[in-house]
Amino acid sequence: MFRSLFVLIALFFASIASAAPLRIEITDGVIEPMPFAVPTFVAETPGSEQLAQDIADVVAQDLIGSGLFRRIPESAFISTITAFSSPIQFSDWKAINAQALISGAVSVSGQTVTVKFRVYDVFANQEMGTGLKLSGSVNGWRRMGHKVADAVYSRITGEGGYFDSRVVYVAETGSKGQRRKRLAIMDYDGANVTYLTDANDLVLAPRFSPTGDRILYTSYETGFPRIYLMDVGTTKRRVLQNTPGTMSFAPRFSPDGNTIVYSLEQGGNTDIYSMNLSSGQSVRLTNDASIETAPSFSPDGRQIVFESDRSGTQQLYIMPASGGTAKRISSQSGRYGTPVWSPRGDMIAFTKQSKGRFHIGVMRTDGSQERLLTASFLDEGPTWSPNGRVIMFSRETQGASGTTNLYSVDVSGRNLKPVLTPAGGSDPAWSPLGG
Amino acid sequence: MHIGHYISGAAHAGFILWVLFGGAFRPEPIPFEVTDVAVISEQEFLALSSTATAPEISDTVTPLATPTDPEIEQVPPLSPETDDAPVVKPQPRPQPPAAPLPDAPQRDAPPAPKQIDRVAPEPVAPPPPDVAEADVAQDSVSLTGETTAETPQDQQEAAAPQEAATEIVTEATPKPSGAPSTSLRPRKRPEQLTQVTEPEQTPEPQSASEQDAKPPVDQKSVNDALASALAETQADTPSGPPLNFSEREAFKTSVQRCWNVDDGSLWARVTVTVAMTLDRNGKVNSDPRLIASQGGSESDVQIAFQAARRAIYLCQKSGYSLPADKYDHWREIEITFKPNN
Repeated sequence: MFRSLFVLIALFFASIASAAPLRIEITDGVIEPMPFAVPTFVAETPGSEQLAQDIADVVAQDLIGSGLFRRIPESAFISTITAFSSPIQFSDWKAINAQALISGAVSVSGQTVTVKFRVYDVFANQEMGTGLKLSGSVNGWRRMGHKVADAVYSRITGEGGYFDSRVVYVAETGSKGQRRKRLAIMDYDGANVTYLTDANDLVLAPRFSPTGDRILYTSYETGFPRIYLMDVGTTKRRVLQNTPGTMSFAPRFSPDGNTIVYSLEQGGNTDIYSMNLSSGQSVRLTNDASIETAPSFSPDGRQIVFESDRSGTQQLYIMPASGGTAKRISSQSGRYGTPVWSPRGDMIAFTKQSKGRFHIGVMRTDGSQERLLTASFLDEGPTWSPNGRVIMFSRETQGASGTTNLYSVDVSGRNLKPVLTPAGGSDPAWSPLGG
Repeated sequence: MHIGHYISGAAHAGFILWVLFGGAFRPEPIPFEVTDVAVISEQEFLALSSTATAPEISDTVTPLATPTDPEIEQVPPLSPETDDAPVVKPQPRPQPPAAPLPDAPQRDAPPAPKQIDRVAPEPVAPPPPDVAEADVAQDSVSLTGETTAETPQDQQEAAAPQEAATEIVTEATPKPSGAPSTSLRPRKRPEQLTQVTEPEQTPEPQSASEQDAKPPVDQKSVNDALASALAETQADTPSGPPLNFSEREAFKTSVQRCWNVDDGSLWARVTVTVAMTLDRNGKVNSDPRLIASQGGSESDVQIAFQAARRAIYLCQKSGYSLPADKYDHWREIEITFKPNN
């Protein structure tokens, strides 16, 4: 009886052993742009051919510009798409190694343009998500292209996009000693630049509201730095903090848009304050003899990261949004400043000065895993893309003829590239998606 | 003098004449172009290397019109009927019927709702109900019966290949059989079974109450069941030794070179384990399925799984290179994709 039991147990384990699959663990992959194909969108109405081409190009340029994708030239196509509803010959796209395929169609009726698109996972032989149709003004065709690119990006990466977004920045013209600075707003890729202020007064550090319809900035209109709030649509503005004998600067919105935090210099001491935009009441959040500035809210609005020299050098600290005990998070050598909390909430971007060089870097919110993404004569003022994937900042070149320009870099440290603007630019601030 | 000297002398004389009168020392130099260059600054180089033209600078401040959001709606999914429609359709057309998108992936060939038999187009008579499935047909061997073979064989049930397996081309290639006749280890087991049935294995005395409580055990039926289970186990037991280190590493390398890891993404923090089945050519014959994951949101897991599946399909080409004689060891594969951040 016991032998039977033993044999049964042995058979049980033997059967398990015989059914065990081959198990492999892979930890190192490759890092390369994903090849994709975007055939020219189908023009479904006469006269929409050029628009179909332009919108497809915007989609492709957005994806390529992210550094995550590589476009396969149309000359390599085996088949193409001549009708939006035609079946997809996946084997033709596999043959040219296209991992994603984007098909689209454009039609124009009066001043309204309609764009339809689908995204396919070629090697899975299936559509990714469902197709979408967008309708809008013909004049807004670039924005529709950005929206299509956002949807494609989101379906392939699983993250939100950032192409349908804008950037407000300080446009700089003139030589280094005679800079003229104006507020300007543009698409994220440098297109459609529009100026919001004239060059009569020095302006600094614009910041978008969470809804993208208002801008906070600092102006020397009165001779002293003051914080202003501007409506983007009308460019009407009002001063928020005008206490005589003080200087207010470095403002930033809370995630709900009802409160701002800023720095106030009074009697030679600089501390951080918050202000309710409805009541105009301010609350002091720090009370130290050192300089506390550059506050930035966490995405949940519960914490604030800021810079302070209370330890002797500029370092980064985190405190509750209502003030209180601050905890230092930067721990390595060098000076840290202009911290900005990631929209994802997991990282903080900052400017670091170390050994005569400036860097844009990121670290975890507890200060761990610090990683420097750039290095140059002067890099500063990082701002996050709406999806927390890309950082834009300003870079100044050395020398009397040096210029300041905007650059962007992926959070991984790759894809560092200049942002094309009409002239120089500094202090960029990214809008929310669709803002 | 030798004739060679005359030839040599004539050749040298000819060469000297060609040098003197053939233009080798022509006074005029070979014409060449001269191009002026200028040293430019880094800023000028950046401006020149920019692919797009920067917009013009405006001195005016223009109030911005509030951007209007485009209207967004879903496009009706492709229905099977639309796949058969002619390709050229330039004019605006009515929207295709809002039929639900088929769950199955779209196929390259024109859609055919019916699954096509790839291997056995003709109906195949089912095997006898008492015949088990095996990779190779085998006769039954009984433990109790007399065997005429010189080599004692294990007890086993009659088995036959699967219906479609008879037509698979790869089966034509002789491969080591997985039957117990080629495996030494299983041969011992029937002897043990036989020992179990030895009459001298008398059960221990039981109390009367225990005998009343338990039904009498039919030893023969137990042995039959064990023998049957053993035969099935033997049929599934992988033949030959498992994959060695270099074979495993070669397969691992062939997959990971197609695993594109976006290390700045959220899914790069997710570990997924994917299971699949390969055919004897090393090609995936069952769509890889997600069997485990660690970290990240559900969306991140799905994107990580898609990247893993894409890597598997992308690099299989005409089939992964794996030792054919060890097919039973790699027919079922589980791959864990764990980004090393």
